[in-house]
Amino acid sequence: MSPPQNTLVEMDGVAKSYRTGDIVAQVLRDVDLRIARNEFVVMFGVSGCGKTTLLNLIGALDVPSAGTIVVDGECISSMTERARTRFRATKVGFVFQFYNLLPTLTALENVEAALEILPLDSSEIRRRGIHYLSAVGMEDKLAKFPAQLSGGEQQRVAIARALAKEPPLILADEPTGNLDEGTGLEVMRVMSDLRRRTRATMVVVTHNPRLTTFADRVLRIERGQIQKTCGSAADNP
Amino acid sequence: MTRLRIKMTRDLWHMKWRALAIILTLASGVAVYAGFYMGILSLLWTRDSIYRELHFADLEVRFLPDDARNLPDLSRLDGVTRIERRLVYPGIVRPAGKPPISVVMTSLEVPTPGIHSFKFLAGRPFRADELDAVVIDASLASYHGYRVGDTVDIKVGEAIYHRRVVGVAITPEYFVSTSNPTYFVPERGSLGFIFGNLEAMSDALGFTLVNDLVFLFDASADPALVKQQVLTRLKKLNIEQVSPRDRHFSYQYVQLQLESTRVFIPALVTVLMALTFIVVSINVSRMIAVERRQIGGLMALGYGPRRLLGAYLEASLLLGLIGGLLGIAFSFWVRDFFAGASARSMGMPEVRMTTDALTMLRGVGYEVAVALVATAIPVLRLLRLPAQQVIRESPSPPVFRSAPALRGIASLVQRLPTSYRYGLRNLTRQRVRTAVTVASIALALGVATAYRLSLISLNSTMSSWLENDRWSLAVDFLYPVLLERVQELSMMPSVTQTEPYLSCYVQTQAGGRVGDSNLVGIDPDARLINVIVVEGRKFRPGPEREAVLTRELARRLGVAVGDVFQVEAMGETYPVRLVGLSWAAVAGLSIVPFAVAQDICQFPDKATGAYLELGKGGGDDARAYDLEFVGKVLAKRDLLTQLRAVLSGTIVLLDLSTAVSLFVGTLVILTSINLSVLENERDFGTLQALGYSRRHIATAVLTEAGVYAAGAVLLSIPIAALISVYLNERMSAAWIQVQNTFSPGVFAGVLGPALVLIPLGCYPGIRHVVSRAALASIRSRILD
Repeated sequence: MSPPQNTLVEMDGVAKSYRTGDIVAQVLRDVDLRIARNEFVVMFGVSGCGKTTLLNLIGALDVPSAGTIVVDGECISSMTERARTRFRATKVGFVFQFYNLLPTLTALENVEAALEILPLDSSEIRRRGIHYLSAVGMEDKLAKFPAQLSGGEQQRVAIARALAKEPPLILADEPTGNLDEGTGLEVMRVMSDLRRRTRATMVVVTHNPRLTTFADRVLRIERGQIQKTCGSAADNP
Repeated sequence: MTRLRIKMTRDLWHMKWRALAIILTLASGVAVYAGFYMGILSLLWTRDSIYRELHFADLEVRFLPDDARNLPDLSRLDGVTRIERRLVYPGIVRPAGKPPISVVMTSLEVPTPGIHSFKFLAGRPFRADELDAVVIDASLASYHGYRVGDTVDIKVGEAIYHRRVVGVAITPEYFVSTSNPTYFVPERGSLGFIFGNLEAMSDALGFTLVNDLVFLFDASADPALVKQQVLTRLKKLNIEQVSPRDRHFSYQYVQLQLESTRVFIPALVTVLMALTFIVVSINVSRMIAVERRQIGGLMALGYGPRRLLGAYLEASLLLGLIGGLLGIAFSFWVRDFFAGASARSMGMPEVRMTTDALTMLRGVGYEVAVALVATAIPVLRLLRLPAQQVIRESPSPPVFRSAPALRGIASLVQRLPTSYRYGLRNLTRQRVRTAVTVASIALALGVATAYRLSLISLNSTMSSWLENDRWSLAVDFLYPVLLERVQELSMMPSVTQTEPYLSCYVQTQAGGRVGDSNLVGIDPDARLINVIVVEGRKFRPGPEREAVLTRELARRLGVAVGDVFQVEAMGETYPVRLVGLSWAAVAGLSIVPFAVAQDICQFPDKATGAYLELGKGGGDDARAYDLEFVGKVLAKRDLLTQLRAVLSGTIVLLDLSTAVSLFVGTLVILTSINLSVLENERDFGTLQALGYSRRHIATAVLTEAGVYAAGAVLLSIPIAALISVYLNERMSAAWIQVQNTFSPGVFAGVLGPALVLIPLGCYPGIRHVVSRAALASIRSRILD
């Protein structure tokens, strides 16, 4: 059965375990999930519940131990490393808790670094870089290096970097986890606003309940399984 | 074992590959230090032990042949334990189908001499009643194929003697032999040495003719005093040459070769120690940066700085000792390789390898000390902070800022793709490490290149010196020959010009200092031979007694240009003015106008040799031997060939130092790149998350390594030039005036392979980063 056209992410029977010596840790168990296009999903749960693992699987940073994951019509759970690299380059934008900006590149160069591996000409790369940094309010800090920016500013650059590729899917792992409450909420407002304008699907992992207010749908994860959803579910089993 | 020790042991195990890099760097330093110095000791020990066992003469006095009964009374000479009389004369042997060989015939009073004794390789000594039996030197056997049982025909003047070979032996006298006493270059096999029965000559003449006395001194005697005493007794003889042990060619040549090698070794060892310091320091700094919170925690628990410093020093000591032991094991190979190759190039027939525990311990001690200091400095810098600051203050990542002076380059870098830009900016972010890495590799490459440059300089100096001389053949006469007979050489086909020279042994004196010298007289307007004057001027034509001395002789006498010194010969003393200092490949020369030499040597109208110039196409050197007064013919082209052969023997030292430099340079790159990769693992993970492929990541790492290699290669060029100039100056002070030569081929020979090989040092780093999943890199917290 082909998936409905408005579904971007489909996960069926996904499990993930890690082996450390003789100990096997079952992080995710039998996860089935659908995420619609243009949806803003917040995955909420305590530390160690498996939410980041789930995010990494959706973003092709990791591969499941069992089950299938299809994103934008591509089965990423059976892809080669090379194909997953290509997938990440074109289909996903990441926002990390610790920003993960390249310290030796300026704000503009950090955003452009994400575009450089796409088939875009240099003028388009520059245009998009400036455009998205302006969109996050960083137009006057294009030439600053990460160490010269505050935490909130760095996260804005990271958001611009994720959005500049104009990917169908944006994944954010604790995007406010390293920021104070006020800055965190401001960053979330920026992300939410931009997502709406770009019509991207956004999945945010957090343990901060206040961020769930931005979500179309909230997934509560406990002990490696999705326990409960609330908000406007698109196509949730 | 204390918990702290357990922690350090486990930490070392975690960083095992970097620990291995430290161990190998330490081992290289120890191996080079101990290996080269033990190699030198082995060669000196070989020479000295063979000289002792075979009773090398403490003094040899050569004089014009005389009846043994006319010799002065030599009994009751204080400090002399043994004297032997010999007749030494040149001859020619013509092996079938080969050019003639000059031979030195030595007729002995006893078959088994007590001075310059034989070590038989084959056969036996001749018996006292065997008048036609001879023993030959090993070089005549190995280079010309003579064996026990062969017959050898020796031409002496007009006479030909048929002799049976009954033994092949090594003798310390000709342990390393020269091609010609004027040139300080050994020419293996160019001279043959034959020892026969003096009784055979006495039988023919009716009396015992001798021209050579060899003396053994008491070990406790002062050689200079005993020599003076001997010469006083012998003053009535027409002395041609006086050779104390330390002026003997083979003794002096081995000494000089090894002294010149000693010039090179400290520079190499210093560089290796500097590299050890850098490698250890970088790794320890990284280790304590990672363990900063742990160290702070331990300080909070009450561990004092001394205890913590002790733990790191213990770890460093452990690595130092492992590296030292490994280095000692490698040092035997370095010693055997270096000593073996040096012996072959010098023509030494055997090498006795020496193991010197003190040298090995010294090598280990130096390297361990360097490792301990390199450990203590970064640890102490951290431990002087309060515990709270150590725990809380995680080292802030260096801020990248483009230097204003490099704006042009910065804008160029900005246009490069991200992988290259990232790699290049990483280097500027860690400026100190980049500078230290580049400088240390440059130093290693610079030293290796400098050795080669120095050798090429020496080669080209000697070659150009010989090539500037117009002579083609140097002909030594068997005895002083009248000048009109010298003209017979001009009748030889192809000879275009002949210039005679006259040499004799003299003693030089100035202000109570005495020096043995070979006085050489040449025409002041000579066109075939140049006297290279490095200070002052050449002597002028005319009756003035002016001389040019070799620098070391002037130093020995303590005289400067303009001073007057005394020359004593044949019982007469002559004042001579020093007008210039020269360098020559042979020491102890006093060069004077031909007429002055005739006067002092008391050989008016005679010459002891001649330089010949041949026309285009050259001529047959062997034809000169047809003249009965010719003793030895030396072709300049053969000398040049031999010179290059000797220098090529030294190449092994250079190859070894180049290999060590490349190896250590690669280790330094490996350390630096690995650290860079570990520190930036999260960046690489981010790039992977952004969709960058492994190729892109590898490009970023390779860019760093490439810049290290290119920077080091560029920097090594001036370093090599400076070190080479320094080495050449040392060589000039010790031996001959070496002209600096900077051959592009030498730079390419060392630096070309470096550009290719050194970036390979980043392979483990690339492998590590591309083999890890992006996720693992982003979350990486591991130590190694």
